[in-house]
Amino acid sequence: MRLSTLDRINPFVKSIVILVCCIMMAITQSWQVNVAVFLVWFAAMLVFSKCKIKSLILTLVPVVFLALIVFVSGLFAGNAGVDSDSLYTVGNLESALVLGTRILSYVIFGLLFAFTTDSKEFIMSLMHQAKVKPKFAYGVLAAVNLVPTLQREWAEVNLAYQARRKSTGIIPFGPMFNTLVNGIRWSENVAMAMESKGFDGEGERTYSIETRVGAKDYIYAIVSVVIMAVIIVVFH
Amino acid sequence: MNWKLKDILMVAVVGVIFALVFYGANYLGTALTAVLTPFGYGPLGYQLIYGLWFMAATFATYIIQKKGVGIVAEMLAAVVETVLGGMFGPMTLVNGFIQGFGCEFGFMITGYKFFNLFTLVLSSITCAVISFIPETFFYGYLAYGGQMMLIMLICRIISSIIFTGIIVKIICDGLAKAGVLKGYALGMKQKMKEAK
Repeated sequence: MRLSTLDRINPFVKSIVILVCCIMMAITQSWQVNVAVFLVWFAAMLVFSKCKIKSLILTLVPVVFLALIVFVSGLFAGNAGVDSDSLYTVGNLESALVLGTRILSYVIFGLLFAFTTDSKEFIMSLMHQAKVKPKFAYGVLAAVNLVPTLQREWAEVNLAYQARRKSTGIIPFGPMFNTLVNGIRWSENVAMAMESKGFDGEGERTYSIETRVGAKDYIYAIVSVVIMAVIIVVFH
Repeated sequence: MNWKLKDILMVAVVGVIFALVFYGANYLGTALTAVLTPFGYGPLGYQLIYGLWFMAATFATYIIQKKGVGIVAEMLAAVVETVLGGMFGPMTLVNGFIQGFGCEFGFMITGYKFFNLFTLVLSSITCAVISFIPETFFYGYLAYGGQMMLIMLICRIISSIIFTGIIVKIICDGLAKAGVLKGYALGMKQKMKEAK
């Protein structure tokens, strides 16, 4: 399978660049910046990654809904216009726009990361580039791989409740607690299993995947930050 | 502290379970915001359940009872959330660090001597307050104005006390009673109590 340009960027570099861009964005309070950021990175994802426009839009539907709600709630509760006679003022509209569009621009970064990053590679790059100790990296990896088991456990516990005709309530505290109990038991067993196979979280070891930082990562970082700076200068 | 693999896995697995809870909580937050908006209190929607997101830190600290557990636990939970495809991507890591530090601060000012309801509540308050500051910039809360921000902060503190303080204590004590925490400080204390 051929990887797209964004897929091939080192995950750690990708996350750091996103953090820098988000912090730059946080300094501004302008909806124009937020919208521009959203559009530019949306376009970038369509061009430089393999994600389909349809799946991207489908993922964005609940986010746009959230942004709309925040926008409306900002209209009624914003900075200006509290004592004004009309329902909202121009000042209020402005601040509501900032709040609503801010969510969109954050989420587009989140989606960029989620759509173009392999979770295993991300954890490996945390180990190689961010110098996270192997025991933390492989520990998280093992826990994440327990997700299907935990989901099955969750379904089984719920089934057991049904079989005994016990109600789980609106918020199913009982099944949650049972899943937690077994989750902690497994975590101990997995840790023991890993150590009994000779896993040593500290020492020198070989790696199945070694992530590196190359020229393309530097170019990606510089281009992203420059685009962000240009957007801020132009629209702020 | 020196983390053992078993501690890391316990915190990470709990982080995974919490991450699955957050998934549902995100929808709950949106729904609450929608319900409250006509009354002019939309911004409170998420604040009312915000304590949920701090739970990993106090949970791990209360069980393991050592220095620095809060920050690492909340960071681990944040990495898990990012890996599982959280909506906010790597920004979760920054929030995780700030929230972890906020929780840690509550235990730090008591010198890590007490791990009880008092320090849990104290830590949930410091976490709510400290994590609120950067968010005013990140999410643009400033636009809401001073009065609304104060109400938001108060709601956040109350929610934090309930979820991060009280509910965490109930869950952890329950887990200790169930006997799955024998290898951790909290479980050992429970065992000593039973022996007496």
